[in-house]
Amino acid sequence: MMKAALVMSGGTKRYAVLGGLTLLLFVTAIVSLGIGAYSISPGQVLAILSEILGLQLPWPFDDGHRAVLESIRGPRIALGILIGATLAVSGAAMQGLFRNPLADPALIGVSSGAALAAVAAIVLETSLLKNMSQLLGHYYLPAAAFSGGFAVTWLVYRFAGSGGRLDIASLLLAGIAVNALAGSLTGLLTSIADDQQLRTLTFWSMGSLGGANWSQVVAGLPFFLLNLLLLPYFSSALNALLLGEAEAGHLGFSVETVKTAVIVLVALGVGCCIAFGGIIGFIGLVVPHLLRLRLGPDHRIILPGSALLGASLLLASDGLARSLAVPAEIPIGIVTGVLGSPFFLWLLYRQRMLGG
Amino acid sequence: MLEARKIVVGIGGKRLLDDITLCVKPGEVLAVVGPNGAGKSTLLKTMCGDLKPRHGFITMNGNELEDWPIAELARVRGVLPQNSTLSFPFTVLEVVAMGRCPHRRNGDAAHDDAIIRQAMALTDTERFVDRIYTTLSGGERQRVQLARVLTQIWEPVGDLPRYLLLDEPTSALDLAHQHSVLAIARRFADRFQAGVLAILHDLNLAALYADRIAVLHSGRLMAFDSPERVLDADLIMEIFGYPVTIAAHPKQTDRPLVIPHLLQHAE
Repeated sequence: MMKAALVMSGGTKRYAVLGGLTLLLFVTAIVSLGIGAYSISPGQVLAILSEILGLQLPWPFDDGHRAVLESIRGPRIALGILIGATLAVSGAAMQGLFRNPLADPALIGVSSGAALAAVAAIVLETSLLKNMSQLLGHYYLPAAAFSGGFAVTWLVYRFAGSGGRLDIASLLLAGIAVNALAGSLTGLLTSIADDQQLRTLTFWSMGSLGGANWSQVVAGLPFFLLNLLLLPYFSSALNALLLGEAEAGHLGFSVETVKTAVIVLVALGVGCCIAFGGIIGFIGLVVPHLLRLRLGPDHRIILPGSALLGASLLLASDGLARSLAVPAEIPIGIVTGVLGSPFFLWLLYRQRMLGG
Repeated sequence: MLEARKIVVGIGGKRLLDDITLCVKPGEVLAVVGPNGAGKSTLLKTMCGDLKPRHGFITMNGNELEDWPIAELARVRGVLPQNSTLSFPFTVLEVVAMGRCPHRRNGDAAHDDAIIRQAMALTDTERFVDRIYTTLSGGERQRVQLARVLTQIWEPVGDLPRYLLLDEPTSALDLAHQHSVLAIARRFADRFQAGVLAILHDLNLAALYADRIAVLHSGRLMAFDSPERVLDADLIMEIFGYPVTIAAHPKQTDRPLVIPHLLQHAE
């Protein structure tokens, strides 16, 4: 027997799940704002936040608490939410586009391009790119990473497209080749780096939210928001693409436009993530995968769900990164890698056990 | 009318379709038959716009296919693929509901539900509404895909004729479901005045359900007429290289029956 109101019942479940994930993100954010070398209780965090809105809550706090929250933890948590959400949504969109649950934004070259440009920027800062460095100041490294990521994605995209059609299999192969090339050049630059530069680029390549400030949040916000607000618009098209490109076209979607738009939005968003947070792995892979296990593959719920869960997981990882080895910090890419890879292997194992 | 006029389709130096002119009228079922590699799927892909003809053109309701906005086309024309590559674990319901995508702008969930339900009842797929699509058998998948395509063109859009293009819709089906799929196609044509083009391998299915049969061979149109005129033992010998006898169908006396002879290999 069929259930009553088939399509509508799907909608109710969707809102319930998104509501739960929103709550999770809220709790994670409040706790994250409190933990670290200078501890603030969740009550105090709420009290400080409410004060901004003109409300009084019964948890006492002092100016020190407020200063830490406003100038250090606030931007760090904000950036963490934006980066976690963007990485996870981009991962989900790439998996849909490539019709492969193991796809990753790195496939289109954005990560290797950003890494190459960032390493070049670090190694050549005092020689070739001196003027650039002085001109851009604090934005020197983020700008380099962002443009490198975008440029390499564009290269991959051009190789895979011909005659107005973008071939996804060619995109994958071009991505592999260009990634390998960028990786070699990065290695070459690394080998001529001095000790100080090596430390900077090692730290950068393992990811960190440590230097976050509000001006970074403001600078990245347009790119993060473009990614986060526009990708869900393509949810139905990504669903239809899973049936096949021709089938998506027959269902009325402009397939070429969708493919190009998704790649551009992912390159913008992920480029920005790497620019401000370095390379942070596994969020884009694990989060959509995890949600798909529970909720099925419908992008209309996977994309917004990934944004919320990705943000929560990145905040949790950042919380661990800053509290496991106080007063030092562990690079966040190491935390996501150490937690993410065994988890992913477990998912894989479980899937094989269930699916045969 | 969905019409191909003098179309030539080629890849590289090879001509896959050579100067083909045919049409599907609203209310008729057109079966396309022919040996493997005759160009049947190429014809369907060209008629639905996936392939561009080198010469000639395709028109639908009088307008060239390329002039149709893709979203508008999707509301009046459904295409059933030969096989689907879907590998993500959608439920059967989710797959069928995708057929409503082109109509989402008039977003009426209860209305969509009713259509989905009817299409699933018609294709005998209600039983696995909650199953994961990837766990179904080939034949079950084919029926789910058909249900998806039917929900897409279920309701009239203005007074535009609707079209249903089926690429080997019966290839994975058992006897009863082969006939039920073609009966559905027949009913769409009779009741909704939809034009149906179906690629078929079984000449007897074509003989029973089609109004006209187009015979393709090496990219050329060898015959295009009613079943009783097209299904001729000499033509079948020429095209398929196989001896048959044509008889009258014992129950459907107006329809021919194709009886293949026994193939005897030389010792």
